[in-house]
Amino acid sequence: MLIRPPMPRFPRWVVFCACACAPAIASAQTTTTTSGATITASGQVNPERFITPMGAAPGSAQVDVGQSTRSQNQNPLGVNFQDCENDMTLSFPIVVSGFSGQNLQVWASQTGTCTDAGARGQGQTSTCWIVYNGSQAINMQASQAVNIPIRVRDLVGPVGSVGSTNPVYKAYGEEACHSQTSFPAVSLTIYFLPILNATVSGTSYSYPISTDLVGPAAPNGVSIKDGDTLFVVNWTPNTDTDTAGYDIFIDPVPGQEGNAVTTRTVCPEASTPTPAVDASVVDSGDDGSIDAMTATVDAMTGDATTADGATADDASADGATAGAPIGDAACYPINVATPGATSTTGSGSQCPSTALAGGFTVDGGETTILDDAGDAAVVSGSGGISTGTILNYIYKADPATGSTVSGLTNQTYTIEGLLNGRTYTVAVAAVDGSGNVGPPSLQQCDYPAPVDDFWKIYRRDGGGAGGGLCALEAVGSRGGSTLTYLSVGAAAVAFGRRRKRKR
Amino acid sequence: MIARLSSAASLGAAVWLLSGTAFAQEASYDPLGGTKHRYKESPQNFAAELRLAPYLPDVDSDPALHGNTPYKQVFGSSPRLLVSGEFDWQAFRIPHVGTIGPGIGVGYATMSDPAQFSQPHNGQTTSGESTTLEIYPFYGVAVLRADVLWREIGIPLVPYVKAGIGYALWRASNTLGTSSFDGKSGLGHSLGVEFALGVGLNLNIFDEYAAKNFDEAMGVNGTYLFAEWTHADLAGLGLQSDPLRVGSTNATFGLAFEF
Repeated sequence: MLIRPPMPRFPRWVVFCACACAPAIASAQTTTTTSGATITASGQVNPERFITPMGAAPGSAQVDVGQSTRSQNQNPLGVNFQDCENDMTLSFPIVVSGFSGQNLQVWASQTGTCTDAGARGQGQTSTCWIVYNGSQAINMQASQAVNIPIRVRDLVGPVGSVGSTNPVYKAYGEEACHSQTSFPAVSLTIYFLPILNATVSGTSYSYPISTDLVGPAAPNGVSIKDGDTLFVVNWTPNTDTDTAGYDIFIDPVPGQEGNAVTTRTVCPEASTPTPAVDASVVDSGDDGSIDAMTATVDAMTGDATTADGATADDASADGATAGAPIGDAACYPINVATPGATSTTGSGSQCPSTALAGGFTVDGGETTILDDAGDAAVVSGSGGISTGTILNYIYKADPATGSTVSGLTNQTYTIEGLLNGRTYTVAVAAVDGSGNVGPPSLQQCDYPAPVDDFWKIYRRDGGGAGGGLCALEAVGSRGGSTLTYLSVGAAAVAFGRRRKRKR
Repeated sequence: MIARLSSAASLGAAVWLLSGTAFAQEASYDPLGGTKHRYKESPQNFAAELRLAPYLPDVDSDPALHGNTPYKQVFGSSPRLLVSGEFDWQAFRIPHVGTIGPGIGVGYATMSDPAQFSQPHNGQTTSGESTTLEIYPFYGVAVLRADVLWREIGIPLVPYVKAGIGYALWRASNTLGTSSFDGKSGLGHSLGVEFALGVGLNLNIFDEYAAKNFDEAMGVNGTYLFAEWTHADLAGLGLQSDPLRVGSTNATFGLAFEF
C-alpha cells in the first residue's frame, strides 16, 4: 500500500516544478546539520521578479518581469528603490528534500548568520529578520523544486531597525522603501532554513543580494555654457563612491519644443512680384525666448529675411525660416517663433521648471545623513525619484548604463539639438550603481545662441577651401584633382626609371 | 697555398683600407683596461628626426580673404606646437660632400579656443563652444646632408638642405564635430612646396665611448641636435584653386639619428 505524503502548505500560487538541475552560483552557500532535510538551489538560481502593473487593482495578479529589469551595469540582480516602490516579489527557485516535519523559513540579515539561533532572536536580540514565514511541518523526502516568494519590502524594511527577541514575520508597506539611511548599497544574505523546534535541522541554503534604496546626493556647482544649438553643462563631481553616473534633465525635451515654433500661412497678393508679407513678432530679449520676429518674405522666391534685431542665424535656428514652394495660390507656410510660446512637454520657457521639480519625490525627510565623504549634510532617506514624470526629461540615457553620463568623475556634458533663442531648464542628478536616481540639482536656465567658429568666419571672409577630402579641384580643370596629378607624376617618374634601366 | 696567401693579402688590404677611413671606425680606448677590440662603424643608410616647432599657419595670407584675418581673429597670433617626425633614406653618398636621398615627414598641430557668440549673449561674448583647427602636415623631400666637415675635418657640424612637396590634411571643428558652413564642411587638404635649411650638431664628440656603444648596440652612427629654418608654402602649387593655407615659416628644433 502506497502512502502519499502530505503536500506542504505553500501559498496557492507557488509553483511546483521539476526543473533540470544545473550548477548553483558560486556565491550561494549551504550549511549542513545532522538532519537529512536539505535545501539547495539548482538550475535557475536567480529569482524571477514579479511586480504589480501600474494602475492594477489591489490583489491583481503580478506580472513576471524576468530576472532583472536593469542593465548589467546597474546591479541587475540586486534591489533598488524602484523595485521596492513597485512592491516587487522575488521568486526564488529552490529544491527541498528529506523534510520530515521541519518548517521552511526564510530569514535575512545584514550582519548576522541566521543559521545561529541567537541571530534569529533565540535568547538574545536578533540580527536576522523573517522575510517569509514559510510552510509548517513539511514531509517531503524526494527532491522537489519549489518557488519561494519574498517581497522586496519585507527584505529591506527592517534594515537599520533590526533587533528584537523572537521576531515574527511582518508585512511591510511602502515605508520600507525609505529604510536605508546611508548612500552605499547594503549587502544582505537570505537564508532558507529547515527549522525544527526553533533550531536549524538539516542543510540550509543562503543567497547574497545587494540592496540600495538611496540615490546619491545631488551634484553641486551645476552651470550652463551656451553654444550654437547646444549647452555645455558642467557640474562638480560627487565625492561619494556610490555615484556611478549622472542624469541630465532638460525641459523642454529637445525636438519636443512643441508650439515654440509655429507655422503660419502667408498669402501675398498674386500679382505682387515684390516682398509682400511681414510676419511681425517681438522679442523682449532678456527672457531668452523669442517673443516675436519679423520675417520679410519674398513672394517670388519664398526666401525670408529677418529684421527683429535677432540675427539671420537666430531666426533660422529658431525655425523662423521661409522658403516653402509657392503654389498657384501664392500661399505658403513660414515657421516663426510663437510669442510666449510654451512647449508640448514640461513647462516650456518657465524657469525653474515645474516639470523637473514635480516628478521628484523627496523622502519624508525624517533622516539626515551625510554623504560618503562626510562633508555634506543631506536630508534624505529617500531613494530619490519615485514617480516617473521627471524621468521623461532625461537627455539621451545610455541604454547600457541607464544614465546620461557614466562615471563618478565626469563633470561635463554637451546637450545638442537645441533651438537657438529658446529657453531650456537643465538639472543634473547623480545615479548610483543600482540605478537609483538621486535628487536633482538646482535648476539652471538659459538659451543657446549662434556662435562664430573659425570655419564660419573663414568662409564668410571669402575663404574657399573645404568640402571634404574628395572635393579636390584643380585650377581650370573640371574634375581634376591633386591626387590625380600626383599619381600621373609618379607614374611618369617610374616609367622613366624603367626605361633607363633597360638601356 | 696560393689561395691562402691570396686570401690573407686581401684581408690585409681590406684592413688597411678600413683603418684609413674616418676616425670612428677604429677604437683604441679601453676604459676597463681589458683586451682591446676593434670598433667598426655600422653601415649608415638612414636618418630619423624628432621635430618640434612653433607653428603659426599662413591661413590669413590667402588673397581670397581680402585682408581679413580669420585665423588671427579666432586663434590669435601666438604660435602653437607642431610635433613631427621625419625619416630619410640616405640613398647615395657624394664623396667629400655628404649624403643625399629622399625623406618623408608627418606631423600634427592643433589649435583650439572658445568660440565667440555672433552677438553678445547675456552680456558675454565668449560661448561655451570650442572651435578647433587640426592640421596633419606631410612632406616628401630630397635631403642633402653635408657631413664632410664632420667626417673629414672633425668639425661636428652637419649643414643640410631639404626641398620637396608639402601636403597637409586639416579639419576645422567645433563642439559638435566637423564644422560646416554654406554647405562646405571644414575638412580638406592643401598642397604646396616644402623647403628647409638647417645644421646639426653631432653629439658624438661629447661622449665618444657612449656613441660607439650606441652604434654597436643599436646601429646608430650619429646623434644630432639640429636647428632648422622651415618653409612650407601650401598655396595649392597651381593645382588647387583656393586651399586653406596651413603652411608656415618657422624654426624647427629636434633630435636626429643616423643609422
